[in-house]
Amino acid sequence: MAKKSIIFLLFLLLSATSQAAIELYDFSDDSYRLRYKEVGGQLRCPKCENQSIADSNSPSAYDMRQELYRLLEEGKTDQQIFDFMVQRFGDYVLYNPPMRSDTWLLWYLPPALVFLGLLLAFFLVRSRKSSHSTAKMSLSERQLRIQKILELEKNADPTLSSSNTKESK
Amino acid sequence: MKRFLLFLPLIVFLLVGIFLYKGLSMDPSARESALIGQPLPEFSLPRLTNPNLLVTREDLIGEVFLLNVWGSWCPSCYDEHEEIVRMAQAGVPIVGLNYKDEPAKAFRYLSQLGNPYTQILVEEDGLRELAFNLGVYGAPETFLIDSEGIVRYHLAGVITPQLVDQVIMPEVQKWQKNR
Repeated sequence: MAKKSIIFLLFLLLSATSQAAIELYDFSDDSYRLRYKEVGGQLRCPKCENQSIADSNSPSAYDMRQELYRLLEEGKTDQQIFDFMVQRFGDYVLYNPPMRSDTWLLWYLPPALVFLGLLLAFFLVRSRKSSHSTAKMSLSERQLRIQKILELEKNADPTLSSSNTKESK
Repeated sequence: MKRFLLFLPLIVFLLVGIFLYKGLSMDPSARESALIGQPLPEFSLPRLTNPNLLVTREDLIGEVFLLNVWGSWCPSCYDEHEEIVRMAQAGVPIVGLNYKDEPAKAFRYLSQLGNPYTQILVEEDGLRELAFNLGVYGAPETFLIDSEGIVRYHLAGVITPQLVDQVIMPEVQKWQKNR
């Protein structure tokens, strides 16, 4: 019984190490700690598509955090650190992709689509408003309009039939 | 204008359909290494068989070779080992990079599966000497380095028989001719 409980306690020790994904860094300057969090949050883990290196437990993210710490301590700027990582892992690691000729679609397509959507909504609302305007007409106005439409159809008929014969040839 | 508006949903549907259809055959984890066209980084690493002997970049450059990153902890490495042996038998020089591994386990791996490597460099866990600078983020990964020491091809993932026959061997021959 005592043996069993000792083994159980030993297993508990194992569980303590399994969740030790948090590393301790001794920053020489307090501003580095802030930048470590900020830059780490903007770098994407190469192994896990939807996590920053600050969030990920993967060994590659761990290595990148170690390098990030080293570069910060060396006094590198944020841009230098981003460049360093891109040199090795490609643009993929940046959560903020650079603005270049081959990425403009990525940057401008979403606002362009929103603009197109707004334009479409504007025209739809306007056309609906104009169709509703018949509801406000008086009886005589409506009759006048119906007559106009009937006349228009009469005039349009011959042209319609002539175009039909053209097609049949 | 009204007629056109009627067709707008169909056009949008077709456009989205084209993109989604293309996405079906795309592998999100496949992306070109940033090292393509770049020189192999400088390094200094011990050999697995002789830890006292340090190997540097200059020792490797001179002929076209493959650099295979592996570890006994990596299940996919077992899967591709047969193909590495096959390429080595076909005369392709393959340098191994034993990555985040322990020497004892690495030796056991090789004695079980055979050693196709011309030499094996060791980069233990915590060291960021070569693999990190190559942008390695897992294992297995394979690089093709030409006779000038430039990285010409990279694969992150398992080497399959089709990849060997259709991609890797043609690439090796292409760069061997190019010298």
